[in-house]
Amino acid sequence: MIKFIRSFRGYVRIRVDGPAPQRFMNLCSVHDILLWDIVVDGYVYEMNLFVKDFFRLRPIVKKTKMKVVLIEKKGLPFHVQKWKKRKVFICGSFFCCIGLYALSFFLWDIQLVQEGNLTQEMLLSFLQDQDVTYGCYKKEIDIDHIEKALRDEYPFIIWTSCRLEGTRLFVEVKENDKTVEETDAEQAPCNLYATVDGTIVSIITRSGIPKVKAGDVVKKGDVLVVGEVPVYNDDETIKEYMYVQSDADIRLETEISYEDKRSLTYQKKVYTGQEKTSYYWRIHKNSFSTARLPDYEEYDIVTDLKQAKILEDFYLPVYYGKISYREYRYEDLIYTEKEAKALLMYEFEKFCKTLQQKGVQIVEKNVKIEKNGRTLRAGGNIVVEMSDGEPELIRRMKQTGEIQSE
Amino acid sequence: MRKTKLFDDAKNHISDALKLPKDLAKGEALIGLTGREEVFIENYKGILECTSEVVMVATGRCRVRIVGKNLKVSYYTNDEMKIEGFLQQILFL
Repeated sequence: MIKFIRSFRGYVRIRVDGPAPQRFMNLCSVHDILLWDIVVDGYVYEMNLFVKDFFRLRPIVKKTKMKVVLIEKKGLPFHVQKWKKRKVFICGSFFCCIGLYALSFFLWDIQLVQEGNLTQEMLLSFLQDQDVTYGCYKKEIDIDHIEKALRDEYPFIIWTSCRLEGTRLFVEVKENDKTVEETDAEQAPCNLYATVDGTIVSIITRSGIPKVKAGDVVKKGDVLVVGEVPVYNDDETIKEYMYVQSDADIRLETEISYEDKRSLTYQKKVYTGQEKTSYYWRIHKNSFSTARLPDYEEYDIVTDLKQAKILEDFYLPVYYGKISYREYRYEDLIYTEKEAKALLMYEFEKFCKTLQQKGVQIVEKNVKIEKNGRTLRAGGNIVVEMSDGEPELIRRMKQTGEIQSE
Repeated sequence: MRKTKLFDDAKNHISDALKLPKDLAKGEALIGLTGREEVFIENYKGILECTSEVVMVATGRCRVRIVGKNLKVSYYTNDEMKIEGFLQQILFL
């Protein structure tokens, strides 16, 4: 800080030579002239002092009969003198600063903090409809409006937060894992029917009349719980029907067939090591590239793109990067029987895990791996216990009790 | 001469009784050391000798002679000064 103040005020380094250097220094201190970095070399003294103080030295020099030589000029006042000769440079720097300042009024980057169902592409397309795009004026962006519109547009978003940092717009959303069901559908009267063939393991009915009991064998499409509840007269004749939304926990045991094949021969992508690189620039919407497509038969294109920025948050509409073309070719390889079996087992375990994640309980696995020529086949049945009972809306209701459902 | 001595004694007694700082009451120099690389001096009268081996400063009651190697006066004002270098001796003459 002291150095900065000294540089700002401007100072000089002088060499003092003569009969009474100590007297010279003492007189300087008496006249409030600050001296620093005093170095002695034999009878010669070198020291720094401010420019203003330098012009106050004359009477002291006369009194002490010293010889003072100016060695060096340092600090801002001297630089200003130099810059007077470099008007174009100064103008350029000035306009550069003005340009950067002007660019800071616009939006140059949009970031979705965490991707889920809402992807970056969806967000950009949505924001474009809201007239929020790269290069738009920051003050015209209505954050509250965007947040509300985002929630209205995508019902699975339950919370949004948009914030502007520098020239970037950050969008943070929280999504609901469970989709919200229509309340009308929830209250509509319905039956529950079986979606698969199987045997009922247990049934707990909360509303409606159960048509099956534990141990019953049902087929796909059979009604399990009826939403039509009869209301009886005193003489046990049906007075009317009350329609309710059927609700029950039904566990059903069923068989799922599983089949997977894997050929022993396969093709593997092998990079040859041949690679060509070209450079790419993009200024707002205009792009430039040194790219020339290579004469490889098959190749991957890998693009590494970066956005220019100043400090942490000041992103500029300038993109740069390199494009690599990597040649590859396919090689025919053969799995050993052990490798192929391991892969089939891995796929099967993955399938089982997916079932378990859906709440399906596996009771028995009857899957065998057989070799058939150059192919390995995993096939069989899995006995599982799962929740069932798909709602089926009761469309037309007759007082007589005949129900037509869809 | 006797009057001056009497006056000095009285001044010393009063300043001791009031517990006044000695640098204010008696014009003593304040010397602060940072290891053997830096020395701050306040309340001095002036520099008597200044080379890269010896810096001698006149204070109110005595002279302070600082002996060392590569001595350099970092700054020198009317109130305080700072000497940097490799300090070997500080003598009160």
